[in-house]
Amino acid sequence: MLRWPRSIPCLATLYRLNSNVVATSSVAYWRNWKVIVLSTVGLAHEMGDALQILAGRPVFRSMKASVREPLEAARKKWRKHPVLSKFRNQASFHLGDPDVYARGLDIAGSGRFVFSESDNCDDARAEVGFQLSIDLVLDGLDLQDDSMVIDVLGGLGGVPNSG
Amino acid sequence: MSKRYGPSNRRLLESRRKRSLARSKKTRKNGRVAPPKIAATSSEPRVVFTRDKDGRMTVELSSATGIADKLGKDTFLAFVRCFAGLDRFLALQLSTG
Repeated sequence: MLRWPRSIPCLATLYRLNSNVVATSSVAYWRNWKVIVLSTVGLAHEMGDALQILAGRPVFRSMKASVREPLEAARKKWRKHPVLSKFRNQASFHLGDPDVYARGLDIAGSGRFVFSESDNCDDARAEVGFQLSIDLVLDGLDLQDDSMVIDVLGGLGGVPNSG
Repeated sequence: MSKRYGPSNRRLLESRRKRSLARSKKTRKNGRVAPPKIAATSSEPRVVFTRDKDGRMTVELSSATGIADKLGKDTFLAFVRCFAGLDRFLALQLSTG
């Protein structure tokens, strides 16, 4: 039986908790959602890499077509995606190189920027989201185009149940 | 007639009235009163805190590059990079806490 990496159930749990426990209008919801998306996109690159190694093994060719073909399609899509590795290295699992932030700042220019937002700041447990950081990284990488993320997430075909 | 309203004073008052009228005409354009001149606002970069009725607070930088220049670009970006990490920590607390 094909086993998914442990990180996929973890992401699914995070996704489910965020959807069920956190109000969608809150700062925390969008902050968490952003991290889920970044992690999922980075994981897609890692999966492309893992599938590339698997595809080189004889056992892969002996798999049933119904199992092999979707994996082959995912490998081709994620392994060769033009920006996934950039995303993985600079935004998903790393904070991004200082040079990327500097480029982001140059591109962003001198306009007004939201640095952070916080919910209900009278509460000691107020949730905070730091918007500027991710904006500068995505600007610095020329990755502000949502269609790329939608393309990658669409390719995941849904996250399996962790249970 | 008092000395105050004597011919020379009347001429003086008349010339003042004309000057005043000329000044008021300058402030008009096409029959509309020209907008008041507004003193140039400070170009000093600012950190702006705003809070809405629901208690949500937003911290904005009037100019990110302006603040970066003031603090030093490397220092500013070092702070911003740390906040990127803090953002992830806060999100992941949800699944570990």
